[in-house]
Amino acid sequence: MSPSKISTTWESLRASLKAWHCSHENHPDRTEIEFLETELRMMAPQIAKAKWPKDLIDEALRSFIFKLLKKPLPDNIDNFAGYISRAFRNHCFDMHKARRSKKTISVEDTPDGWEPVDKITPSALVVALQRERSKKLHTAISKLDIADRIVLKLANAPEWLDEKEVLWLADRSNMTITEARLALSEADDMYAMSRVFDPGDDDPKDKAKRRTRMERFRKRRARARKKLRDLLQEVK
Amino acid sequence: MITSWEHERLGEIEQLPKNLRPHKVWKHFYYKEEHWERICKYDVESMRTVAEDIVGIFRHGHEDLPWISRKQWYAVKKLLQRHHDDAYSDIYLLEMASPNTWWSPDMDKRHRHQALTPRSVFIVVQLDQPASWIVTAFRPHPKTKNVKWTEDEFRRTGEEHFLRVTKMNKNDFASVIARNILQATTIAPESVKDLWWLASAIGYGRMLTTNAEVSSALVKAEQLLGGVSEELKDDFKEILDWDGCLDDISSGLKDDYPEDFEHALSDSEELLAIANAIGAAKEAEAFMNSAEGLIAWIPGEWNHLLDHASARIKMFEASDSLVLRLWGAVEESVIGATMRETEPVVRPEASLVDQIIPSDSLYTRWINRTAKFAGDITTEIGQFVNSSINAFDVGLPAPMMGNGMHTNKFFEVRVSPEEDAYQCRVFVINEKYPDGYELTDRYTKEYDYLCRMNVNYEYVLIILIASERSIEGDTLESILNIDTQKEDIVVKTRKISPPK
Repeated sequence: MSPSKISTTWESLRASLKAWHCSHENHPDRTEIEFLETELRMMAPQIAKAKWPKDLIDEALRSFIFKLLKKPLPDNIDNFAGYISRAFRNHCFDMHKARRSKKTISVEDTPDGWEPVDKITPSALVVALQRERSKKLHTAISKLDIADRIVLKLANAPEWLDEKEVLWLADRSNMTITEARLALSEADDMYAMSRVFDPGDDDPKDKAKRRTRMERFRKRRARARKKLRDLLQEVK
Repeated sequence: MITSWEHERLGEIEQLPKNLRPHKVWKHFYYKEEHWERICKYDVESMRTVAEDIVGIFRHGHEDLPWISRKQWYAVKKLLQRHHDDAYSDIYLLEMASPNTWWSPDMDKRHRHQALTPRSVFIVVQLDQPASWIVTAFRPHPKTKNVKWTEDEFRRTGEEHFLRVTKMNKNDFASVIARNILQATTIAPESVKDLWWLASAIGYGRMLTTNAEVSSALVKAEQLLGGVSEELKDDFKEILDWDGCLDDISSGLKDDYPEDFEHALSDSEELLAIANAIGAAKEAEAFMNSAEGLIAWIPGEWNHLLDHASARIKMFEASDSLVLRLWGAVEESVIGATMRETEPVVRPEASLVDQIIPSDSLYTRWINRTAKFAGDITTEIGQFVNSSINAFDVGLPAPMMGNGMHTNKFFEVRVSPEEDAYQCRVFVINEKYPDGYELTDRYTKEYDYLCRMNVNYEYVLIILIASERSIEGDTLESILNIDTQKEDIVVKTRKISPPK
């Protein structure tokens, strides 16, 4: 993982893609492709990465970026990042469905067009309700005990663990903060995440112990969610 | 043709918005399992076939319209709109207007009402100004494979579904389940259909045993279930449509609105409850493992689902059913999406770029990078840079007494620049200096050569930058990045190979 600092923006990427599709002379450069890949990686929820076959997200990323380079996007997109996020999510579902039915999808098989842009936007009322609920939820999350917040972030948003939270994990596991960050970046499934939170000395190859640990981690998250539920009752 | 209807309490309710119509026609009206042909006078199958011909795929197994070319999309959109206006909307609006339609007593957290029509069309209405509008209209049916359900059974499913999603109070819900259990125990199951009602009622009942009404009704139901043959139970496990449920979850998540996804969650809940009653733990576990990976993608905008999931968890918290895991996954997904609304502290590494962009040589990268500064060849500065870049030449160092090795190793890049009409900066790119080495100081007539290069290089790249004004920036990259001078500079590159 690298520190969160970026120079490419969604708008500059959009301009590069448009120029590339107009002239086919200069495709988006490496930094732009790297920006796109990291943004898409962050859109893929941690639980999906942990549950789906290891190569599926990479394959979905690769074929989606190829599709972006190959097939021009519709012109009338208002919210470019939002549109790409939706299109990528849908692409992942198609890949997952194909994998479930044991079909293979090549870049050539990806659909000819893009998602229609002309869907309706939610009413002002619905948007206001969403925002109010989101604000309340953010407040409740910030009021959680650090251990509860960490356990939920580990499972759902490890890139969002802040320095204080990583330090807490490092202290708990007798690691330096750099070692803790490294352990987090190397944890590629829920079992590995659970070991960052609760090092223990169990053998990853022992299936029964592995199951017990996963169950313990699941129950720990359920406890954290219960506390969040209670906090949400209190937050105005 | 009617397009809206006035509800005495909720006011005017309009039909589906225009842009949702094609998707809902494809997803629900054409869906064979929903049997719209039974409640309308149209030949739905023929309508579906015409649409399938344009789209190029069968509706069966494809819950969503594929992302087709623009031309195909416009053609099929027009047709689907017509099928909506001529058939689908007529049915759901007329049905909704029936005095026997059931309405949810209160709006939910997203300010919506649910309705179940006499012929089992389930409708969700978004309250809004100036008029409320329909978000979806579908026909609930048991999530099974290869079973043909009658209209009476559709009605029973519709009622059970309506009560399950609108009774959020635990005691009211338990009463509904107790009623379902009593209804299901009137006959001993002899078919997969009979067993469906019994297993569903028992599955929910087992999650609510703390309720006296439910636990008392459960006694007889459990006895009946105990008498069901293993053969019938095995046949029954075969009809449970776990894959269809996963497809509905992913299809629901693709929508802009959450109503079809919510219905898929309701179907999943029922299948998990049934699996508990019937002993299909392995299938249920496998389903949950897949479903969790999909549910994790709930968008942050659907955060109302947190309230719904929390209410379901509270309702069933005394049990150890997988249903709790389902709603736990929904809760966790919404929490995760909310956490991800802010900027991350670290960004994941990109690792695919080399597979996506054909491995550019160092030189190609800089040629591409500078191409947008090539300028206009017809302008004075354009002509100056063009002739200046072509003035670079190569040669071997002059032989020196006792220094033969020297001449074998290097070649010289030579240039005799024109009088400085413009500000110029010169860089050379080679493997040792991939970011560019500045040679502007030597770009004068005073020097015999600009630089010496190793003859082993296939070639080196010279980059010449000219401007009418002083060129800012310490490095090649920074010069190209300064916004205020991007319009002023003209850049040309030239590959220089060692002399043959």
